[in-house]
Amino acid sequence: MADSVSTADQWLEAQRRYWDAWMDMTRRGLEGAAPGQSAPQNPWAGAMEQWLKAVAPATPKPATDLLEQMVNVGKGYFSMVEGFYKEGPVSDMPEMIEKWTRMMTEAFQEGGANLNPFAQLAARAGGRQGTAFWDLPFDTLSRTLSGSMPLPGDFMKAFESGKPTDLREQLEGILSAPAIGYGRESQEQYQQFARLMLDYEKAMNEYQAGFANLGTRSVDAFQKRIQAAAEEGKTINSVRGVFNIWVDACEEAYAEYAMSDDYARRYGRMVNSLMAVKKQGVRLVDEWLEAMNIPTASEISTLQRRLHDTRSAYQAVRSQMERMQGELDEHKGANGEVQRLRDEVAELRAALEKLQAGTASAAPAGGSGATTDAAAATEKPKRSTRRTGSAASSASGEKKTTTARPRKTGTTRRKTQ
Amino acid sequence: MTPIQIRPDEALDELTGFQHKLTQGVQNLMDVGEVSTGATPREAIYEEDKMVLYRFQAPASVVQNPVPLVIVYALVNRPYMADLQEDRSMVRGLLEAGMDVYLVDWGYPGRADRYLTIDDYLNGYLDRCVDVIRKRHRVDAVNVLGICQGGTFSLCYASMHPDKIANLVTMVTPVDFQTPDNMLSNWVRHVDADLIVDTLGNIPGEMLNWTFLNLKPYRLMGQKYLDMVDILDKPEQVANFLRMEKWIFDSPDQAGETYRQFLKDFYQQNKLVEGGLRIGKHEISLKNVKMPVLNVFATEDHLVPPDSARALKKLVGSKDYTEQSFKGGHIGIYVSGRAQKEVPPSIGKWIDART
Repeated sequence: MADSVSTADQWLEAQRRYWDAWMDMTRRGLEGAAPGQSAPQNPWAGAMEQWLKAVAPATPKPATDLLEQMVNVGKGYFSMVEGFYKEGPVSDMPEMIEKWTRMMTEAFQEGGANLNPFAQLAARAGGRQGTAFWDLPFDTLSRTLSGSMPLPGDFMKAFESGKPTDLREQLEGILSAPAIGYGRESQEQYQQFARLMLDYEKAMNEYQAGFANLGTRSVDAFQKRIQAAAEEGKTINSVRGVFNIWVDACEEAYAEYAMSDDYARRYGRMVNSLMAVKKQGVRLVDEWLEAMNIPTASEISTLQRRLHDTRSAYQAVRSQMERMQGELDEHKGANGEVQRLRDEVAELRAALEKLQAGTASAAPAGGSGATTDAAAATEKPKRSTRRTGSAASSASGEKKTTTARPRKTGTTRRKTQ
Repeated sequence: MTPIQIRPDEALDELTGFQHKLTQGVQNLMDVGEVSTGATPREAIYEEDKMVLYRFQAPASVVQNPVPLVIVYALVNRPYMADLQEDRSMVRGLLEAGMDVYLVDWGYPGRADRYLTIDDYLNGYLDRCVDVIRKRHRVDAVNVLGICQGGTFSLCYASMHPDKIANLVTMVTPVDFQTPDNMLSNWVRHVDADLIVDTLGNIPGEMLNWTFLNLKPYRLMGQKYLDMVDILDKPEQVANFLRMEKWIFDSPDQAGETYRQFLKDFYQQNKLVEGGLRIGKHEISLKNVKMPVLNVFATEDHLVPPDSARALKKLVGSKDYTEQSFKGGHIGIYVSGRAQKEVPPSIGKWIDART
């Protein structure tokens, strides 16, 4: 470390520049701010917020989302640097670890919505930590149901942390009362829905409670990593470097918990209880839709299944047809072979007839040309005798040839099969 | 000496530097415009319902392997990850390695598709795609490259139709779904798959997104955006970041019945390892997978732990089994600069040696 005089000078100079930079940023932000709007309380983080508000209207939507993410995370990072300035320089190892741990913890807990994704999600959902997604379908459902049910869609807010629990007990008492009268079945359905909502709320609270020690575990992991760096003689020269170690520590603590049996059980209960609520909600909505003669979810589901089954059957038939078409094509090929054989037989017959005619007319004279024709003609029958059977030697060849045809065709067909 | 050695002026510089990059970088964000994906020219060869089979256009100068290669992607996320941009394209690398590349794009299932089963996907869509390609190229069998869940599906398909696959490549493919380091598997142990599907019908892509992001929430929902500020002054890198961001959040819904079987049979009961898996009328056994197999996995994969992929070695029936590890993560294996140089060429060489 530098000596104490130069360190003090550096610190003073840095402080001056820090405030200059902050003023500059705040001014930029306020240029786009509404009239009368004052500078924010938290210097850097607030200035970033102000700046984001100023530039957001001129930025396309996807870029705004990304910018918001960067600013949100950046604010946590800024909080760390601000903490660094507040704490001042230290040279002692235990004090340094204690100081950074305190800064991290503060950043995590206070400005920490930006360092801790679970807190960030919670802020976005306006509710619980780390469960924003699971809350979304629930909220949607609550809004849908609120118009058609005796309980207001947002009545679960009464059970959020810090609210009196005797309300739950009272409600459980009411829900256990037997349903009576004309609307008994419907009443039971609503009671069941409310019971499932209570189950879900309980499961969600248990799920959240599982995260309670995550902050402490992250701090422990962070301290171990800093200690290890010290033992290995490594130095960290930037706030970002410390931030990255903090992220690694948080991931380590989170992964350890997320791989545990305890987490798996809490997660399973939370998801299952939410699904049970939603399923019962759909049932209630279906009743309402049915009364209005509007197709219900279960009816549409039935249609979807039938459509799927029909399409599967169609595909099976189509595949079978394509196979049969292939076989037919092969048979067509076989038919072509038969046709070639027929043509050959016809040729042979013509040659034979010519030969017979030639023999009859040439027998007395014995011309050399006729001898040549006869020789040529007799070559073919020799090759084809087996195929044409007795046709070549029979005077009534037409009939016999005809009877021979099916035999030939049948043989070809079997071969192709 | 303490390990944290930060001078106050440096800390301030760091902060003002961050501020400067952020404020100056906004213009780059605004200038990016529409984020495009998919770099390689392609042609739709066969379509059925929402599924499209594409064939990529190969460079004229490259001698092609006569047996086409079909990429089977996962149902989760979109397949353009394999062809994200010109300099980050596994497809392009495979084409340059001489492969004739086809890709099955499953599309976005709608509510009317909720009863689609794994049987429909594999013995229906995929099988018909393979038949179309076999007929076009007059070959008995094609090469298959299965990615992630698509790799698991490819193994199942290879078990059912071994005569139609010449060589099988699996990439970051889960086989053993219950390795001790599989976070997803731990999370779904007590989840009632039937209740989820009966309630939701199709499974929203958003739900899967949140699940994946929550595997590493501090990095994926926090640190990543801080790091992004560092590149905000580089328009090209901003565009790359946004392209990746688009892909991450571009998650199709999952057909309910397919999700049900995948969650129960693969994750909860690990039937690919334990046995007893049935798809349609077929019993699945990896012992039926006797064609040459190349199993590529990433050593730092947080979604598919390496051991999950490596489990294939003991289960597969092939006598020609090769493993290739890539030092990187689940996404880096498609898009990192090193992956572009290493992965597609080695796949091409492996296939060429067996064709």
